Amino acid sequence: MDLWNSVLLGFSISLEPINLFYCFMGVLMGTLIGVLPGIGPVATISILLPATFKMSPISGIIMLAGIYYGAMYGGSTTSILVNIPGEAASVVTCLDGYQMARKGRAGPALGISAFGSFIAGTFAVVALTLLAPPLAEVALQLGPPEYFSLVILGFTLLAYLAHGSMIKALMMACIGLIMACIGLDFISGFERFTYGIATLEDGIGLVPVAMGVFGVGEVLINLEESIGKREIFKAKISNLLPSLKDWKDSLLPIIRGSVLGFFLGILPGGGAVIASFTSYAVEKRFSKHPEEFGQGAIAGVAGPEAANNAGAGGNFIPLMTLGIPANPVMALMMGALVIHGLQPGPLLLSQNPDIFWGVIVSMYVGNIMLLILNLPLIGIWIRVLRIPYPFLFPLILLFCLIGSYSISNNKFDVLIMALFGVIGYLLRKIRFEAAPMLLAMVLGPMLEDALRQSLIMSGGSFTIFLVRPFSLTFIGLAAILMAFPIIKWILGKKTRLAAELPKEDHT
Amino acid sequence: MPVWVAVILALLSGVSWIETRTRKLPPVQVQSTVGERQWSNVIWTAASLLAYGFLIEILGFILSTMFLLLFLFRFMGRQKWWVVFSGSVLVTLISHAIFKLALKVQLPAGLFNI
Repeated sequence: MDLWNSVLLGFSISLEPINLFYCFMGVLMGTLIGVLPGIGPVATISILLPATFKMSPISGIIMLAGIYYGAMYGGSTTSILVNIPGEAASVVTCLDGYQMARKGRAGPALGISAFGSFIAGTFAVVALTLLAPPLAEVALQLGPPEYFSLVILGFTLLAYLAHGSMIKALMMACIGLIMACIGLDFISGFERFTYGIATLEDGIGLVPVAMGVFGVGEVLINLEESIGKREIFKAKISNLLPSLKDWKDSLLPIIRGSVLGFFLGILPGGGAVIASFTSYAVEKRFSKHPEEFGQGAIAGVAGPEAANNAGAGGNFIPLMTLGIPANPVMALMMGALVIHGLQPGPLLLSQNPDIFWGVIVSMYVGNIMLLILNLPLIGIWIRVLRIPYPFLFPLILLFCLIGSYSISNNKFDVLIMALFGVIGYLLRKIRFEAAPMLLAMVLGPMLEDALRQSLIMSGGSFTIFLVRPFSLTFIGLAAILMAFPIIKWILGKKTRLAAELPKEDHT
Repeated sequence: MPVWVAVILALLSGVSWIETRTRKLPPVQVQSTVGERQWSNVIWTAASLLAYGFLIEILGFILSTMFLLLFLFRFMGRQKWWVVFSGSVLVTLISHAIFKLALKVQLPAGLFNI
């Protein structure tokens, strides 16, 4: 099937009324939770995952994807108007977006972030359409040793790109791998780490953990900080359309942000957050007036907002072509596909072209819906922001509880979620990132399978990872990335990526 | 494999410990875990979630949810009593309608079968 026909197939599926409806629901909910601080896409997708069991797989995935990129749009609104990031990828938008709002230019800031998001989102979907099929071809050539090395490279990248300490990120990944071992061993059938508890035989579910760490943990953090102190920008917002000069200042940042965001989105651990931070740093360097950054430079809004949306699109590449999720959101999407009996990875394209193209094309449709939702409805989103937190957080908790219970109608999932809520809270306190742990939980079984299959192939020799060219390349890259900080440390230069980026004050 | 991962983990924590010891810069300011903030909120909320997990199959969804919301709205959210009551009853009924009736999610009926 050539590209043109594939895209047409995608349109025919995504324009079915039922799928249009779920796409709309997805982007609407995505924007809503993007606007609301304290609940992000990971928690929302895990809450709604059980609700998709009754839908057709394609509608379910379309809705979940809509939540993700919808949240990227919504997050900017809160950043600009309240100076609190609606979700993590909008942290940098606070810097210049809020300054613009204070100077009475909230309208253009909101406008440019919506248009920038739209342009970047569309770019990412086009790039995804063009890049995914050839990559899936390549991925079909990879065997277990290559997968093992690729996942190792993924973890290394994840740790390298982490906000905080690389060591901490690697430690979290190790804990995730150990958690992935809980339950029945797939090859030998032994029970591991179950301590005789029947519920643990199936392992710890990803969804309750994700909900606990990202949903409950976030609520607990917010509860500790005094409740309900939030200043909303009150001035009337007029003139959403950016002026010609605004466009001139932001067109290049949007284009750079789109490209940068998309490719960073492909990397494991990359995705929207890293993309927006990097774009901000890049724009500041490219700008003729770097001193304006932080004072309300429109480029500082346009670039990162474009980048985080393009990143959200790029995230789908490793999932759709390799079956390897790049971040917790994609891990949940992978869970959703598996629950519906679909195997994400290179075969998805050939075995379920309807799912593959339907989802991708629904993103074009969703992007258009978002533009329509965001510009005229901005007033509604501002009103949503006025919902007081004391009223909001019990609802978030309740949804998490219902969501975790309904995965398998088991109260142990609720307990696991509550427990991981506390763990997530503590992790945030001691500045450990939860994302590597969650990803390792998903990738753990894959990694272990690949490792054991490779060793069976090679008769127990570890050299198998070093004699196959692809595998060697991946391992080599991972080794270089690991060695980088050590070399720099020896040279006495403390210039990690994170050092150049604006400090994160709001999380 | 868990053994190897554990070994790596131990090595990493060792490196991390050495790093914090030898670093010239002051380490990242860690917020005090037990501080002047309202950390009791955190403990109470977490405890209420655990209690909910234990009670949901005994009391059933409607009753346990109502109790949980009463507690959270009143003691954590510090709302007025009429807001607390109307809020928890409304939210419980609406969520019951959405999840059980519309989305057909299986929610426990509990001992009292409601």
